[in-house]
Amino acid sequence: MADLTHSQLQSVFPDATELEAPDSRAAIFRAGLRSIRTDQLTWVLLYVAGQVVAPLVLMAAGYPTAAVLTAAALILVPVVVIAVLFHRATSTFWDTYAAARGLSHEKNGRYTSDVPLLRKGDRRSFPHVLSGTIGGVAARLMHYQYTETSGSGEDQSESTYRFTLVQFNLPAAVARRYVGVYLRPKSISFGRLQDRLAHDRGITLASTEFNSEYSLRVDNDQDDIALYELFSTTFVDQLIREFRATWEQRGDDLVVFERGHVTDAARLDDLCLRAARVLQRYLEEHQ
Amino acid sequence: MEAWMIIAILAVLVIGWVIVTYNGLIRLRNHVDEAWSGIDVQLKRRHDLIPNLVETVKGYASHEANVLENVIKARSAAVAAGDPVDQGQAENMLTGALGKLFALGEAYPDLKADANFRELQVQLADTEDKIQASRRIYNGNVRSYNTKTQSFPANVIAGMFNFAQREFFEITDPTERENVQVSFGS
Repeated sequence: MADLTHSQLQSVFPDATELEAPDSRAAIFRAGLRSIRTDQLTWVLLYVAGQVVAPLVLMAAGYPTAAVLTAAALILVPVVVIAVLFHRATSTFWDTYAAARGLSHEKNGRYTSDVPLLRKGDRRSFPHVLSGTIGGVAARLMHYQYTETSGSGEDQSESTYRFTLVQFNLPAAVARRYVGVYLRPKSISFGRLQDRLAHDRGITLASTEFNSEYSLRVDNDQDDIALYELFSTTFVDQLIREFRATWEQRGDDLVVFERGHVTDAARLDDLCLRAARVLQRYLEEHQ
Repeated sequence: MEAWMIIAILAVLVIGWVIVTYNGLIRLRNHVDEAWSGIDVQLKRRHDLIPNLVETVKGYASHEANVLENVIKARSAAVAAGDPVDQGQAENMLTGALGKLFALGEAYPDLKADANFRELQVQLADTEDKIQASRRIYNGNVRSYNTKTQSFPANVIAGMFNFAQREFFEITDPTERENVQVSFGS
C-alpha cells in the first residue's frame, strides 16, 4: 500500500487541516512508554523492589495471604500502567487523526443500517465514529464490531468480529437504481441458508480473476442492466489490479469495509480513498 | 462389501468427476468468449470512429495522403482480422498509423484547434483505455482456461472433448508507446 499523495488526500478529505499522516496508535503508545522520565522510573524500580521484598517478609512473619496479595499487586500495577497508556494512545490517535482530516470524533457512537453486515450478531457496537466529509460527501469512518453468542449455560461462548467501515448516504436517484449490492471478499461466507433468507442471489461476472477474489451478491429485485453498468469492464479491471474494495450497499446506504480495527493513519487514509472511488463509481453511473 | 458394489461406487465417482471437470471447463471457456465479446465491442467502436477522424483531418491536411491511406489500410486490416493474434497485430499497426495521424496536429495548428478533432481524440483515448481493461480481463480468463486444460487430470477431459488452447490478445498500450517522429520535409 503506497502513501497517498497530497492531491489525493485533499480530494478525499476536503476539510483536512494537516496532510501529513498522523502517527499510528502503536507509535503513540511507544512514545508514551519512552516518555516515562528517569525520576519516575526510579520510583517504579523502588516500588518493584519493595513489592519483591514485602511478600518475602510477610511470608517469614507468618502472613501467607497478605504475601500473596502483595505479590498480585506487583503484577497488577504494570498491567494497569500499560492499560492506561494504551487507552490514552487510542484516544490521542483518534483525536489527532480526526482533527488532521477535518472530521469529528465520537466514542461509542450509535448507527443503524439495513446492510447485512451491520445487522449481524447478537450485540453490535461502534467504539469510534468519525463524521465529516469524505470523498466530497457527508460520511462516517467507524470501528464496528459484532458479537455472536453460541451455546448455553456453561458451554456458552462468544465470538467478536471487528471491522473498519466508511459509510456514505447515496443520493435518492442512485439508490433507486441499486436495491442491494454486496461485494465481499471470497473468504467471508454468510452461509447459503442465510443468503437465501436474505433474498439475494450470486452473480458471476466475465472475469475469472474477479470471481476468484470476490463474492458478488445482489438483492433478488436488483435490476441486472444497472448492475452490469456499475460493474463496467474498466471498474472490474480496477478492482482486480488497482485497488481492493469490499462493500455492502442497500438503498441509500453504502458501507465500504475491511476486516479488523485499523489504527494506522496511512491505512485509514487508504481505506477512505478506496471508499471514495467506489462512491464515485456509483455517482458516475447516475450522471 | 461385494466387488461389484466397489466397482459401482468407483464408476459413480469417476462419472461425477468427469461431469464436474467438464462443466468447469465449459464455464471457463464461456468466460473467455464473453470477455472476447467485450473486446470486440470496444474494437468495433474504435473502428467506427476512424472514418470521421480521417474526414476531419482531410479538411486540413488533404495532401498528407500517405498518412491517411495508411490509417485506412490499417483499419481495413483490423476490421478483417480473425483470431486474437491477427487482431492484436492489426490493432498494433492501426495504433501506429493513428499515432502518425495525431502527430499531424502539431504541424497543422488549425487541425489541432478543431473541436471535432479534439473530441475524436478524446473518444479514441477513452476507447483505447476500455480496450486495455477488456484485454487484461480476457487474458486473465485465457490464462485460467489454458492452465486448467493443461493441468492433470483435467487435461484428460480437455483432450477427450476437444477443449483447444486459446490465444492471448496482445496489443500495444497507447500510454506505453513511443512518441512518433514525423518528418514533414520535402
